[in-house]
Amino acid sequence: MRAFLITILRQLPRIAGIAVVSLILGVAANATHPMQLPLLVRKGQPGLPNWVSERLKHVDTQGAIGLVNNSQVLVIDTRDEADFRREHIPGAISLPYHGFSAHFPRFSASVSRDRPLLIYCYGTSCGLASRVGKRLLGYGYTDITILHNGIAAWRAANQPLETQEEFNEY
Amino acid sequence: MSIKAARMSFRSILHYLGNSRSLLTMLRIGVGLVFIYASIDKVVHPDQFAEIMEDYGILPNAVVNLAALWLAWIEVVLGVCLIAGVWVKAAALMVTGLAVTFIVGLSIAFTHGVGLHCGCFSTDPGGDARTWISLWQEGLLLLACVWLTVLAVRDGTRRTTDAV
Repeated sequence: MRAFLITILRQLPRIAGIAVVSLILGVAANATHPMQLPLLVRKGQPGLPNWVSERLKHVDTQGAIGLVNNSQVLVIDTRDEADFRREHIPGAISLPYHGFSAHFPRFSASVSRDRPLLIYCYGTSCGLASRVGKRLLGYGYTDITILHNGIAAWRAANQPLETQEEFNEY
Repeated sequence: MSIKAARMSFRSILHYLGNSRSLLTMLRIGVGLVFIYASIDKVVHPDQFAEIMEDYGILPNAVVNLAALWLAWIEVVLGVCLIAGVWVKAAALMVTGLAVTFIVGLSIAFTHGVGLHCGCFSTDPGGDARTWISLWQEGLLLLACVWLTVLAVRDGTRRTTDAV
């Protein structure tokens, strides 16, 4: 045990060297990466580049009511499928964050890139809508709005919810 | 075979497993390849890896991006060190430390009932959280890392003794 501890102590400079080299490589790679993550997250959420945060629009429930009633706008539920089946905003389609890569090919083939999208998830601290919004921006969708505080705010405002087992068509 | 002979052969197997140079080479290249493979998706999609790290809920959000970038490249550097045979003891100690950290992180998430995606080899959030399978994978990796560390430390000690 003592010999093992001595080995660790002797290896500390090399361990520190590997850690420092890795940090430098990580920061340098990030500077040239298309996502360019902010190194420290002051506001917003981890994994969300500044350019994505700037391009995602946000609305409260009152603003969302007008969008939901506009047939041009496609409402997207990013929660898990089981929660979508239980209840969702009327007319919403399911594009769950957990399973995005499986669902996206069909979505991509059916929904044009310039169609306005309203995305929501569970509630207050839920970042799934922004995560899906980031992916959709990456795939060329241009008009993306996030419902602030998700379905929890929608429910709190006594807005109607739809319950159905079947998924809505795009 | 007598009990004495069986005990002798068991000891010789243990001695081989704890001292073999060829085993050390195989293990360091094998573990190095695993770490390089595990790092690829994290390096390509650092934003998605940061999302997974956020879901673990262990680090404050402010430093998650930096930690995700750092961890992805630590895996690359450790993989290269092990395959190239450079700073093997330090790299072996670090991969063991990382494997322990992964298991602790997964276990904390598991005991809190969070069905999260490991982020061990892929940054795709996927369909189903496979925490149990991830724990088994990480357990096997930890076993290989500990074995590698033992062999690397013993090999270094033997070479020092030989030099004396």
